[in-house]
Amino acid sequence: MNNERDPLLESLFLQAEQELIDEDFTTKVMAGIDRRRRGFLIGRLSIIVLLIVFELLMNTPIQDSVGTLTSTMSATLIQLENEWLNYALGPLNSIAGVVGVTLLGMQFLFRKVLR
Amino acid sequence: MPATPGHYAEGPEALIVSLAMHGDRQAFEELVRRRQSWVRNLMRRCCNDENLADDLSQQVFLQSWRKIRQVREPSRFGPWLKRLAINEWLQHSRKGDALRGADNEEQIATVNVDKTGVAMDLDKALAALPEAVSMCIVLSYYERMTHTEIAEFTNIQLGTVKSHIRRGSENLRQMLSAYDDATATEDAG
Repeated sequence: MNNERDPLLESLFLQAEQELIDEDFTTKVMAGIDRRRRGFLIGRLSIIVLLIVFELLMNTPIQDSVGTLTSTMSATLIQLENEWLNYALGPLNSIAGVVGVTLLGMQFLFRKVLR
Repeated sequence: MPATPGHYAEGPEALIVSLAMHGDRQAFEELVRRRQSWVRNLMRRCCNDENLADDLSQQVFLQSWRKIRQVREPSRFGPWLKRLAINEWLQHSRKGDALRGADNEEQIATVNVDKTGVAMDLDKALAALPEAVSMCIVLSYYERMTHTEIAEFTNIQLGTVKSHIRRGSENLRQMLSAYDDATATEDAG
């Protein structure tokens, strides 16, 4: 079938078309744009204010937690006599090392056993 | 010096689109003035409800303000807006299937009082067709799009578009046969 159109329907569509120019419609659209812009600005401001409040309230607790976590994770498990050996095994000879090895082991197990 | 709305009324559309793309609110207002009749007529043919058609048309213009920087060539603003309008309608029809037609009869009786008889009958007949069929018919007859263009715009397969238009046209002709008889009588007279 080609793109030919029914002449009767074509003429009815032409007759049905109305000139719809209404200043009220334009005003409503522009008011909608203003409303959206205001909403967007208010949203942005709210996020900024929330971030500032969060920073003010949580700054000290977050820093404390990070400090505690870092010192806990880097704590040496077994004290070795040799200083160089201590440095070399440092990454493994700590809680962080144990956690890391455990995670790698779990990942390996997951791949080998469960898949 | 700020430009007055009258100033824009005389300008070529591509220039006004360029200005709107750079955030000129008055230029966009002029585009709404120029294009509203076409968008609102399209929506009226699609949904047979003047209030809903105007709401959807407003949404189309709000979207177009938000996305106007995406227009690649200002001279192709019309086709770009057409795509937005059709997408808006498709989105609406996907969302609102359950509500569609629930109180159609009442709406026809109350909303269409200022329509011409032809517009009212045509919209009523279009509303009686399945949504996809009526969409294809409107795009073909009102927008004068080819079958291939309709398939691209709506993501409906070309063969389906063709059969929708063929069957839809036959059904519409049947529903609007009174106009056929009237035309024949006028011709004979």
